[in-house]
Amino acid sequence: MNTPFTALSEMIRLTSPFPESVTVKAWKADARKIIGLAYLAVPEEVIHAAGMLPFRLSGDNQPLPMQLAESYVLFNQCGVTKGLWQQVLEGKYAFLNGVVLSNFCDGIRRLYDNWVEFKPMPFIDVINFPRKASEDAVQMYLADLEEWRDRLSEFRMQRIQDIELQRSIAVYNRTRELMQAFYEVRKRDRPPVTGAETMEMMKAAGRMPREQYNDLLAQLLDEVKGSGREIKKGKRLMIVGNDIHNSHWIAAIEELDAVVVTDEMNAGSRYFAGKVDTGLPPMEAIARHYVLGRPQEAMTFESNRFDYIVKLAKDYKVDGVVSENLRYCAPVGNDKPWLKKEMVKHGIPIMELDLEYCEEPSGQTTLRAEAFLELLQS
Amino acid sequence: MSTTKQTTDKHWAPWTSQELAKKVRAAVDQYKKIPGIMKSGPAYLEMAADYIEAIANAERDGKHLVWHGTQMNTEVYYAMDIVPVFNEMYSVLFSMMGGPVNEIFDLSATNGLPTELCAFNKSIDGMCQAGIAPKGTMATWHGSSCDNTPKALVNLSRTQNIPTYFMDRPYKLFTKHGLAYWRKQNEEFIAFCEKITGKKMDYDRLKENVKLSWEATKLCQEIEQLTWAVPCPMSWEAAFGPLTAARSFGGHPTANAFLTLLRDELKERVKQGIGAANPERIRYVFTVSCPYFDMSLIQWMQTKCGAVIVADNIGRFRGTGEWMLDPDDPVGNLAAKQQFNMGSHNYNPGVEHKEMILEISRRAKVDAAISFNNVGCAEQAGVTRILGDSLQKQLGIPSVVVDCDILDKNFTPREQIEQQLERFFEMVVNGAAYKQRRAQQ
Ligand code: SF4
Ligand code: SF4
Repeated sequence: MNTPFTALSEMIRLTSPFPESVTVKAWKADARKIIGLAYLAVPEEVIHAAGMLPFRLSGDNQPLPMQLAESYVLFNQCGVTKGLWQQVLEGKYAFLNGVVLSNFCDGIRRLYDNWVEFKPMPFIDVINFPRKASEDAVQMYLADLEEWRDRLSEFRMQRIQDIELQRSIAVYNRTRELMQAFYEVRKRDRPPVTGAETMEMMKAAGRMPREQYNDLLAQLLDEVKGSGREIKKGKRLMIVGNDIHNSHWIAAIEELDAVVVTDEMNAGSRYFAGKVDTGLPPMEAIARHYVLGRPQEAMTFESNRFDYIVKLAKDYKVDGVVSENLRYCAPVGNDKPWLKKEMVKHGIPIMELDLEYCEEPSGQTTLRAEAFLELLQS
Repeated sequence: MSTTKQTTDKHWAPWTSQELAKKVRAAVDQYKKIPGIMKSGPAYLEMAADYIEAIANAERDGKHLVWHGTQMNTEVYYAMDIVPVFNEMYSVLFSMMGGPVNEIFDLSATNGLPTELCAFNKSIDGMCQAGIAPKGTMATWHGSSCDNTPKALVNLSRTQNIPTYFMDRPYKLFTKHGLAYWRKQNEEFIAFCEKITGKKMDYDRLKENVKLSWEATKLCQEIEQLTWAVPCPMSWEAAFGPLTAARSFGGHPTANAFLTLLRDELKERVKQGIGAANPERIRYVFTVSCPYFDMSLIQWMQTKCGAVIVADNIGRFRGTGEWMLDPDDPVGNLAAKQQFNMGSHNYNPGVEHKEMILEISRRAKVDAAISFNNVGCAEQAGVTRILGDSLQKQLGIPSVVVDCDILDKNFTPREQIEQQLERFFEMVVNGAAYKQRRAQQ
């Protein structure tokens, strides 16, 4: 049994109960605004520069009911959309002052549509995120972001200045550096942290003020490095595909003879890759980073996603890949056969799991994981 | 050049594009024998037969074959003598001709594609596995109107190992920056076609095609207005003709010839007061999808229930449809066309879809709304309730959602669908809003 890290426990305490945590309550008590967002198409830096708290919409470590949501969106909508919408309908996100979504995928843009239609709030916005990684796409996105900056400035009744954006970029770049360093230690032959702990660390980033988070993350990194902890497990795994946001089932896999050493998730390696260029005008730097500076994903059509996965597998000396696919997620689902072929081509074993968003580990998942590990042994 | 050579496997041999073309042609002859149908009905199917024959004969004719997704500007292909094959249209024809949809779905599942994805993805993937998908020389598509369409084309181009050009259609198409981005990609799209075919675009020819397409848009709009007449003159057999003409023959004289025929026939029917259903009990709109898996349902609704289709979500140009900005700038016009293109609102903020449905329902004097919920379509699953609620609240129009697979008629038994629709129609005609509407007519 590993001793819990103090800084990680503090992150969890501050972001509990989910979603309206002690941190959220304290922020609201100061009459400050909170803006919800989802996925990596909406730059948090701009919201932060406006003096508002960007809050990442998600589920957490318990299954989400979806029945109420299904009376609005039909059953054949993905679990993320239904799960988030259910929470909105139940009033769990009533603390938000606004929400900014995008056309990142069908699920998220339909979440926006339903929000506008059925739960209007003071500030609801949507961003045109390009589905292609190109220079022209950067320019289009930049123009759209500038318009959004105008609207958000209007909402706070004061122009968001470049200097504020530059400060926010520095804060978020610090997060990126710290997370990169955190993942670096996971490359060790005997990594000091588990995949479940890492996921908790990543989720906290989207749920608390960033300066406070950075301080805790720096502390956590020191703790991790100085802990002398060595996780002695037989196999090193990587998780790819949809974000599930329930770390329990990662923990369940790690109870077996395996440790998760990396991932290609949005609440994971994709989030902190690269850095926003501080030498460019801030909005342009942000646009450039979000379109070109991060690893491409399944939602970018013709992406280099598989190359990224293969590179991660090599860098982290991965023995096997666990691929998560949520039902009705077309971007990730359509990649499945190709991902498998690519893994076979590179001699990387893969286990495919069809999961529901935020679901708890089932006996069946554990059995499949056991069988997969046996296969890896042989 | 296209290599349309396909399987020699006996089981699949009846489903090559050459065989499919023969089946569609034979269906035209059958159609002609149906008593009392509009003459535009067989003409519509004839257009489909021409379409599939061009695909089947592309190699023989020494032409390039391009796989494409929804909303692509076919004017460009026709100006370069490239034969287009639209993945959805091809799948629909396969299904309509009785193709073994379940078997190709099974092949796709064996290939690893999740079974809950859109039927259009599974069908093309399965056809590739079966060796009956015509081999393209390139694939071009854009990110509209959902996540599945682009992915279907990505999968296909990977399987067939053919070069691609992907157009990132902006979500906010009515912005200056969105349009500039889009125009640039239209230019790149043409450059890509030039590179693959080794031919230069003849811009005079493109201009001509764009002009033809513009005239086709105007014809579609005239047809739409004629369809709104009471009683509705448009019968089931020709109802989807404008969609096929404008989408698959945009910029080709075939579209204009068909649309002119249909327009004139409708004009005549309106003049003579001929309605499609006798009596006309219910006028309905398709708010999302229509029953491609069994289009005879539209016939059944018309003949057995007196229900006529007077408006359709996908089959109309948006708003004013004024996309011809400058006759000397064909590329600019084609870029602008996307703002108004049939079904283009599916990919824009839902409020635009909603406003469009409300507008046509009002103008077409709609009594009822039907949503065929394709189980593989998460995109439409997220907007159906918004549309239904708005119609009910603002116009007193009730809606029904029929779960289906868009290509597989065995997914929901026909009897079950008929019962559901019959119950729905009874509910509609007993409603106060319906009675009030009828009293005013
Ligand atoms: S699960 Fe897929 S479709 Fe759903 S919100 Fe996430 S990326 Fe979008
Ligand atoms: S039915 Fe839906 S998922 Fe399928 S291609 Fe059409 S819009 Fe896309």
